Amino acid sequence: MNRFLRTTLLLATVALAGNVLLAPIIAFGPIAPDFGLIALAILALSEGAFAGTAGGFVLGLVADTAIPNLLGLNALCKSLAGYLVGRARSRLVVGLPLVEASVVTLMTLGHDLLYLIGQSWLSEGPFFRPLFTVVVPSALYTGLLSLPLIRLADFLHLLRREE
Amino acid sequence: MAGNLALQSKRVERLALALCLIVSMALLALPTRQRIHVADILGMILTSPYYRTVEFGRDVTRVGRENNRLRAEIATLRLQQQASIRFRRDRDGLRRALDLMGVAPAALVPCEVERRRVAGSASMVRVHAAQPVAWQRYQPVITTEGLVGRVHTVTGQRTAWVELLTSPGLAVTCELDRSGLPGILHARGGDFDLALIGRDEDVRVGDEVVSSDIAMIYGEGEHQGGRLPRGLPVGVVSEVSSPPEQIFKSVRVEPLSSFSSLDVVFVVVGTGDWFITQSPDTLVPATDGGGTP
Repeated sequence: MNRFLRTTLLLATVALAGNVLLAPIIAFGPIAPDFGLIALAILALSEGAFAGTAGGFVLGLVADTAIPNLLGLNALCKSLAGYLVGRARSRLVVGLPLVEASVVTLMTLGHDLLYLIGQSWLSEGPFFRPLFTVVVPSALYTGLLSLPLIRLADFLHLLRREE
Repeated sequence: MAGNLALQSKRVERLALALCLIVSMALLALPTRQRIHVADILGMILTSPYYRTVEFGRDVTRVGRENNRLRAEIATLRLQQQASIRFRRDRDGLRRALDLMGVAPAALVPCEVERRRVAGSASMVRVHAAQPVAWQRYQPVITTEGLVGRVHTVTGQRTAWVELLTSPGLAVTCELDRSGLPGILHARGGDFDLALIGRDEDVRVGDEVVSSDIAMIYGEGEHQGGRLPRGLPVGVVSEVSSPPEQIFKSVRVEPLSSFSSLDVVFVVVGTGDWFITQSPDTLVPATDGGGTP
């Protein structure tokens, strides 16, 4: 339990500090890495689908408070993303950087795609333009940036290996 | 056994996912107004600890910077005070050598404003000191910003009525700090006028107006108004004009002190133009009419 709490607090700090402080600095216009999703991926890989779902839901709600018009959409996307990564962890070869980066890239892509669908459906916004100009590059950027962070999490023994 | 546990764990995970999805969709299905209201409440619950922590961190940083600035200011003020003491000693020595009048220090006595009286002819506040004060009529009363009035009526060892500068009948001698040009300050509307400034005199907007120790006699006869210590800040020149029909400039002065929110004021006991901080315990009521402690 202590380990779980420690991991969750650490990842929550990484998500908040990364998104609030670091992301605006290293962003290329609208293309910014999503530290929240990286933290969620680490949490789901480390603790499993239940923690991934719950963590994604809470993280999504926090993100949703900034956009009250779409309240619930972030929570939905992130809890689903956390669940899927948590379920997939037993089938992944953990320790290979390419695998980890691919997981985060795919997770971000899926999450952002789902969010974009919800957003364009609920608020009648554009779809294809942001898909190619923001969603795909941001997913690649997030995947690339997740490499050192997942290695760091592994170094700190946050990633639990299944026997 | 292990298979059962894994199955149970999968069920719990699916249940958690289903619950999260249902709640998320329920939130999305809310009417816009209620959704915004719920978002506000959630924002307060979820993000307030973060913002409080950030705010606390900022406060700590700000206080640290403020402390450093104050330390530097205190060091500067100490040096300036030492220099002032040396200058004062030199000046007093020269005045003694020239057989001029000795100048005693004035003390600031803190008083609390306890009552206010506004009438057509005068605007006054009653002040109360913690210890008996050597009151004298026309003693200047200041705040940390600047001059606000003068003692009008002594009602007890610790209480007195103070006539504010905003009183229509009150005029005080002032001068411009930059040029030393004297004038008479009196209230007009919410601001003040600095009268008797010649048309050709050099007055600029932003010039600081300070009290003058030169007693000016104007109009018919001599006015008993008491002398102010020189250099008490009063206000800043806010407007200068030279109306063609007048022989004097029209100079508007914005006061430094706020007369509407007086809380603690300081009575200047003594007539010197340099000040000492003196404990109220050492002040005694005047017995011979002299106000110098």
